[in-house]
Amino acid sequence: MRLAFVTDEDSGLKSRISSRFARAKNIVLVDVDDSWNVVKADTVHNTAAESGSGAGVKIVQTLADLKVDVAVGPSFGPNAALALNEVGIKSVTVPPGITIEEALNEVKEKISG
Amino acid sequence: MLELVIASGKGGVGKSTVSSSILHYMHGEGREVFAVDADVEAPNLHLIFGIKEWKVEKPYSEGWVAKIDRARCDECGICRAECPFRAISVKDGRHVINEVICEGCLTCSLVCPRRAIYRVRVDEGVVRAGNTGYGFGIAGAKLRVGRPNSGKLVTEVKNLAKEIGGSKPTYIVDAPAGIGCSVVSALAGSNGVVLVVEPTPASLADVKRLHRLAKHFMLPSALVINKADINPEFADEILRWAKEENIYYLGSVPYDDVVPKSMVAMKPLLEYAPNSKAAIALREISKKFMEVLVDGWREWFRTYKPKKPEPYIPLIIKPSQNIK
Repeated sequence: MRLAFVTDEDSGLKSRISSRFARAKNIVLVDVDDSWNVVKADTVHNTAAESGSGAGVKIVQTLADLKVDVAVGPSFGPNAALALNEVGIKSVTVPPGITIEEALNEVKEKISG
Repeated sequence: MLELVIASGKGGVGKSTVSSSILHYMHGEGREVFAVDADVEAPNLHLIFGIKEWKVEKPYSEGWVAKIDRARCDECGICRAECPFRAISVKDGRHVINEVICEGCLTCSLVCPRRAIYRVRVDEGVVRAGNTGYGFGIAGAKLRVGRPNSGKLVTEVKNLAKEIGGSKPTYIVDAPAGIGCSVVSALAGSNGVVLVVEPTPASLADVKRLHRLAKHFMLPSALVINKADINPEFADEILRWAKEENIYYLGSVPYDDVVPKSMVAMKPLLEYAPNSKAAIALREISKKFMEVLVDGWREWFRTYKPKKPEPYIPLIIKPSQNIK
């Protein structure tokens, strides 16, 4: 399963979750296996942040192209929420400021119950 | 660090008057505040408080405009005929692009048989931050006439404010009017919203839409009714709505002609006419804002946070249909 976390930092899994979704600086893609072990973590630049308007839809396009299953952010704007729903990417909210490692645990609890 | 947004949906309702009163009051109480003027198409907080110096001014650009390469152009006129915005005209026998009208769509470049048209970034203005005459920080932007506010621009202004202000101050964001892209960006990442409304159907209709946006972001809201006494029955109706929606009531401001006078004098109302009825009400509201929304933020957030996020349903309005 592939998860995408939004952050303004560039320290991999130690980066903290941004206070905003579509206009965060970077996206950290985390691949986990069936028992939630991290297999791979990559940071990509979020180009959606640079568009004047329509950032919400653009970041979802990026995530869909990257075959993301779950998007993790502090909150999702109206257009981002609509687009995520439309392409079938699950969204999970976590408090901004926690690290991606911590966020991963929260997501694990929320998804696998 | 807290970031609280003052917004109204409808324009001209009193956002800047409420924002500037809160800033003035809290600063006077010895609190660290930072003014974020996200209403960059019509910024005015810097006029109310005066500016000591703009410490940082960064050029800002996001859109594109078409440019004609003079060496290649043979003045055939196809671009002018095809431009959907009629931005191209002929002056002294030469084709020229009006940069204010050009939307950067590049239809002209596509149809040009001589490939003489390219695009360049337009200089939209500057994002800037500095200190007000009162000593507290301020961030905003100055746009060239004709260039629009945007979600990206509001993000840049907020980011610059935090770069300069750091993690200590309470950030008061004076939001733009409307509920579009730039307002979405003003709310994103904030910690709560103050809805400013006047007792008119237009203002209430807009504030209801804005409140739905706040609920979408799972943000708690507080309410200020401005010019409440011009239509007291309607003000009561707004209060009933706020109660139903679990919105925290901060207070009402009576109509008072010292408000426009203070704007003419370019002074914060609380300083220009401290004993006027509007200033007395706004001081009460600012005090409550500081005690409940800032100092008591956790409790306020817990009590007034929406129960569940507002789902986003695109609103399609047919002619002759009323908005609920």
